[in-house]
Amino acid sequence: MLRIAAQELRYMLKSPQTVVGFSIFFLLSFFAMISTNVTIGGGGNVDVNSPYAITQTLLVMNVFGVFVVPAFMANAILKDVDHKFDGILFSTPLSKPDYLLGRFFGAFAALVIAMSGTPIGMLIGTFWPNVDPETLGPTNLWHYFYTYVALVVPAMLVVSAIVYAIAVKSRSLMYTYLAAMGLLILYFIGQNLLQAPEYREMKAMADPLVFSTFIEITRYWTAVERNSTLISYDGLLLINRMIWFGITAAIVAASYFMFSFRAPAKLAKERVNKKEAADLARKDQIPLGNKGTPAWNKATSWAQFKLRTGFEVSSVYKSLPFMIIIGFSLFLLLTALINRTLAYGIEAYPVTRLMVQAIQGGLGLALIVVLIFYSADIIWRERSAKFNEIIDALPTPNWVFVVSKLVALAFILASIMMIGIASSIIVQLVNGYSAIEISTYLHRGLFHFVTPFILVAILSAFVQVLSKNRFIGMMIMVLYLISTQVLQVLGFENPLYRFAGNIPTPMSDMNGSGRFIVGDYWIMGYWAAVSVFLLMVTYLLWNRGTLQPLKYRIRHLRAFLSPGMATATAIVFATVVGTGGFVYYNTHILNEFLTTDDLEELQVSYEEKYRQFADLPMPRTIDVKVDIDIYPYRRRVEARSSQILENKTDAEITTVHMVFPPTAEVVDISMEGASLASFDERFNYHIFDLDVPMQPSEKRALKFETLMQQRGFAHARNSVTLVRNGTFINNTEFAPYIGFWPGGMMADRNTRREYDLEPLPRTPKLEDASQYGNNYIRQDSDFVSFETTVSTVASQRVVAPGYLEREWTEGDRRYFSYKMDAPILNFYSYLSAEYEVVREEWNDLLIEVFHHKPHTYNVGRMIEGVKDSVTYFNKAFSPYQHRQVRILEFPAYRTFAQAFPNTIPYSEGIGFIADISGEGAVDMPYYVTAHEMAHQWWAHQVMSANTQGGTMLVETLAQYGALLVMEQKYGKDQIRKFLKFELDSYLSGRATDPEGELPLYKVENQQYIHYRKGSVIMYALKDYLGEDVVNRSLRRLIEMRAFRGDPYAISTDLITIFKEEAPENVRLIEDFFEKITIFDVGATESRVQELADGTFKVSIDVDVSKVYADAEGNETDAMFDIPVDIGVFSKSPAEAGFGSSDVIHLQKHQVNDGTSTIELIVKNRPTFVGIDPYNKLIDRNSNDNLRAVDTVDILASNEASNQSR
Amino acid sequence: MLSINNLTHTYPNGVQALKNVSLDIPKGMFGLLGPNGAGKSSLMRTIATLQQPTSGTIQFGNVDVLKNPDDIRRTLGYLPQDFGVYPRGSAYELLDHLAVLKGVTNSKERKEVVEGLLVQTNLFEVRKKKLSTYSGGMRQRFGIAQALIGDPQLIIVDEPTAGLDPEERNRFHNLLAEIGEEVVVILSTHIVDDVADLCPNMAILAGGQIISKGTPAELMAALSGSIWKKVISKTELDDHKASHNVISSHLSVGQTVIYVNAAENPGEGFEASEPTLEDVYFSAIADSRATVSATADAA
Repeated sequence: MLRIAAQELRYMLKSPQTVVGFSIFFLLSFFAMISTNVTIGGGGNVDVNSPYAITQTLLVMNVFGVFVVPAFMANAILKDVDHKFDGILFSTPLSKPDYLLGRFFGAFAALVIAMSGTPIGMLIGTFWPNVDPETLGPTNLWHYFYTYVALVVPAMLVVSAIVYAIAVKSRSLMYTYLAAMGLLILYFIGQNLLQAPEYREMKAMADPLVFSTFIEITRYWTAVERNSTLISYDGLLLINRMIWFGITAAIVAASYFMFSFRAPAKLAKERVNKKEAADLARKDQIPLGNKGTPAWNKATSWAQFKLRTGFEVSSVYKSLPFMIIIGFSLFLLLTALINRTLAYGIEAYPVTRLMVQAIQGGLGLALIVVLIFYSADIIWRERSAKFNEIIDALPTPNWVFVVSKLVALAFILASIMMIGIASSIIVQLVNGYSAIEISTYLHRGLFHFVTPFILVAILSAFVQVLSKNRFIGMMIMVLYLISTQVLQVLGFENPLYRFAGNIPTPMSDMNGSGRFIVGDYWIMGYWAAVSVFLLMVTYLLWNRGTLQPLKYRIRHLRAFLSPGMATATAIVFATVVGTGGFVYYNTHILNEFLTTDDLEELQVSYEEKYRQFADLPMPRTIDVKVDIDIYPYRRRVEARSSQILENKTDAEITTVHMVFPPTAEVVDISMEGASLASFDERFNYHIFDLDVPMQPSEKRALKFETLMQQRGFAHARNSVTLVRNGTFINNTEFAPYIGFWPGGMMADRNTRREYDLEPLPRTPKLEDASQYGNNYIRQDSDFVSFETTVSTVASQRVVAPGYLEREWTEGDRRYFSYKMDAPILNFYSYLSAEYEVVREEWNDLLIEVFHHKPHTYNVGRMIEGVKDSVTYFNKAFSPYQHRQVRILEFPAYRTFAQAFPNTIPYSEGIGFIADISGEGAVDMPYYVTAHEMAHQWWAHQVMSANTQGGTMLVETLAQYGALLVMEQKYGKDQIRKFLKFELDSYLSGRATDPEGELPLYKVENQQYIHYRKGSVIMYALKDYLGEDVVNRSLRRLIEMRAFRGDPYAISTDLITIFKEEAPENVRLIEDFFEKITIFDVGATESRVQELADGTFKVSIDVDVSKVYADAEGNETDAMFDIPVDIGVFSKSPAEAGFGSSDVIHLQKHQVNDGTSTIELIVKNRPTFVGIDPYNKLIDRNSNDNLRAVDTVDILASNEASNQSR
Repeated sequence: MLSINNLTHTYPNGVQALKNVSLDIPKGMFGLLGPNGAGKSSLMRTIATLQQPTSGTIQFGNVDVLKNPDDIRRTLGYLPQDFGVYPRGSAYELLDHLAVLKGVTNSKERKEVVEGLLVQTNLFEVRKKKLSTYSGGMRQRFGIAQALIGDPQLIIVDEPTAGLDPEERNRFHNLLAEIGEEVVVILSTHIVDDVADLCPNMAILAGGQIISKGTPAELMAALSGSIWKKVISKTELDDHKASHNVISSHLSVGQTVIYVNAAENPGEGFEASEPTLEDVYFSAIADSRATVSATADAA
């Protein structure tokens, strides 16, 4: 056996798959390491060669490895059959175990060598000069070795054994490949299905490639742990490996017993029926001798073409692998069609746009697999059936074969999408959704989506015709597909050289495919023309008869000189040049062609040139008047503004700088008593010299005219704000920033290091008093008075902050004049679309929802959310400062909601299409509305200073407001579900923070802290301090800081108030806000004993601990010293339909640090107990808080059992 | 009818498959005999437009085969030496398919053609069976049926009887014989009897060269009086090979029978033998081997 294994290994090492496999994996991981755009595993404080990064890289590559496994495993067993050597070999005295196991281990050893390209490529990559040494830890060969040998090799062994078993059983390379693909697809489906947090452990145990296991084990690991710790063989990993080694052993044993050296003989079934008999009787009347009279004309060629196309299509349809692919894909597709999760486990309505995206996502992989396999299969069909000599000697013209094969391929690809569309429509109908947009399906689901695949199919046919055999062709196509992904991230962005390249064409219900699709069609036209040329070459090089080397066939290209071909070629070239030229004109001349790297360089040079001016004293905007003309169909906005600047500093100002955003062109600008000293067009940077310096408190007028427009199309970053229906712009896109604009600098600290720039603080320090007079939204203005007149096309309405003063029509344009009655932050937006308006007047408040006509689903909930918010916040915080609330839908090109003064733009992608009819679903539209409403207080009343902790006062408090409004409506017990999502997001977020975690009061605009942790902390705070105390504190903050910028609020203002209001809880407040405190509470065992008086004695063993973490995640133990909820329930709080009637006991108990037992007496019989059962604390493992009662002693037998205790 | 002039073909790896082959093939059956590897299939493929020769010309009637392959394909019926079939589909379906590709687009006519050929090749009963389940003989008959579609003027059958049992072989010969004398039929084979049974004209190809051509009768007559046979024991064979021009030897009832080509009776127990086509074949091959080794020696 060893001899055979060694022989097999030697054979494999010489064959291309080992060399090619090694090279691919070496290069992939090498480039992933040295590329600055690709990071696997590392990032933030986690080193790129940390054990975590090594493990992640190796395991990710191992998933790709599944693609190469069949090349080894199938080859090991099938080469004898392929070379018809099996007859001889199997009759030798070779024993079955020697043969089967020897071949397996030989091939597996070769596979291990090929895959070792990954760790070696990664290791060598770390020594490459352009890898940032800051991101590297010390080299530790053991980490590579352990990860490869202990994690990757066993995982490969499992996959290899399964694939080998399939090869042994099927004896077909194609089936083995397809089965491997099928396994991979199943794997992804499984990953997809088991996404919810409650399945994570199951997924970790079931993942044969241990990737999920690794993710699960390290989920909440801190940077320190990730940099130092390898995952060890215990817990989940051990269970997983035991399960899979068991399965593998079973599969190996099964395939061993099923294998036989004797191939089974196939017997055809004999059947003669009546019709057959009648047919046979006819035999004698059949005239002989007619050999047919061929007709040679166009009709013949056409008939031949139709016949061949139908034949190719049906050959593919009838092939088993195709059915397998389609079966798997449909499964994948249905999963995608059914799972339309938006957030917090909420599904969206099956609007056609989402369904089309699901089809694209679900079937894209199937199209690629079909394309690669069947282009090879179709092109080589005659040759592999050994029927080519007969076919090639037929008088059928070449074009019939070439074109019919490609048309068949295109038809097959399109039919896969048609199946997807049909399934999708069924899902819509089953869901009772009837607004089915057939045209969207046919356009975005079929034509636009499938055409690039057809172009790639032509490329594949071309490659196949050039290659010596189908496997080389397939290999080249796989490399091509990988390269398309790799080149894009390496900065090769030009769609003119990326075959079948494209530009993003996002979809929206409001705006359809917009104008994005036009540019994309030009690019598609260009590549279609190139493909026609490829098709012509393919036709000429078509190998008819004996396979001839390419250098012989090249002679056929002389046919290009013939007049017909020359004309056709000229037309094709004219089309290529024409479309390519037009694309070039749009992407390079109308728009500047800037790659991601170019943009970075621009940011660097902006900083180099102008950062020196960052600290110059500047006047601030105090009054804003803007006239805006929106031309949605021309994707153009003209702005004319006159603003008043005031010198709020104590110094004399002699020069005024201002930066206009890159999206705006400055048409005209003038400043009172100032002359333009310099204008840098590259950065829209203006410097005015003041003829007479501006004294403190002096005011000057600034007038400017700007133009925003999307010219033609760019290769990337086409404007999603200037669209036909749903224009959504704000002042940061057309109005200047007074002074040096810090937002123009590069922020990412890793990228900065590449350019040798010091890291930029994300936010000024909390202690930096110089920033207390600056708000965190923008530092060049405080509260401003605002009025605006805006026009748009007659069919649309446009809404801006303020109250509508006047509305009129002039020609084909509609005008609106808005004015705000009190100062607002210098932050305002315009939305123009064909809106439906739902209006409700309620207690002197005008509530309006401007929405896309069909999106009526959640409008009522939003209005209710507004009412409940205003009612609650008026009472809890302070009166609402406006007389109206307007919610405005905008296209799903962006998915967020944002609070402007009395105006809430709200993406169609989140709340408007959420389906919250499911039982126990989190009411997302209501929640988002409440959150944005809360911003009218926490942002638009109290604004925070531009320091650390600023977003705590804005986002965290908005989350708090929204939670309370939700709690009022849905009850305390429903909040648990929401908080669990929040806690999980926080714990995962802290592990991946690029710059390290900070305590809540010093949050630097870190979303996982100010939203996620903030929700949990504020809810717990309310729970410990009492709602009244917290709300009273917030009212005090409003009294102290509302509508003021001298100074703005800082987080310690609020914390000081909390401490004053709740002196007994100072330590807790510090733990929550000023430290990174991680609790870990859990119930380990519970017993219930029924007592003689009919009550129940409950004992719960609990384990509690508390640690403080630093920015990197280093932990120090602390004493657990806060009381914590102990709950006793008759139903699990995690179950749907859980309500307050299921709560038997829920109270705070003082619990000692470490393990202890809590005993209490309750009236009803419990089934579940828990410590912190509603997940109020920041708990590292929130899954062990609840526990089903372990042992119950009931009264009937209590005598006996009590004694036995 | 078919004239081949100075055809030479060298494979990319340097192997010279055809060396300056020239042949004139009239209407009727033409046998091309040659041992395995003689270049028969290369020649057949070249005539069937499946392979471009390095140099030389082929003319069929007024058609330049190499320059206008599509024209010759319209009058060509080709049965390759070794062919497979599509994994799905019955004989009827595939013949029907091929008939369209051969330009028989009228469906009524096509049905008649296909059924006629199925009857003629005795495949009518099994026409609905999957071709992939056919036996070797059935498959060869299917092969000839497809070659006959469209009434070709040039029919090339490459090693059609290899591997067939005697009954199938006879059946196949009958089929070929029926094709008639109005068209050119080239039958390439290494089995002498195939040619002897069927072909009025023939040529022998060895080492890529035509070493002999004519009618079987002429070729046999040319050898008349120079074939001698002797029964020897197995041990004597090497001595006889050394001293005589032994063209063939075979075993008969445990003893070795050798044939010698010599102008006069070599004596020593040799007796005259009436030349058969087999003798023609073997002596031609023996001659060409001698020439080759002589050339090699000279070199």
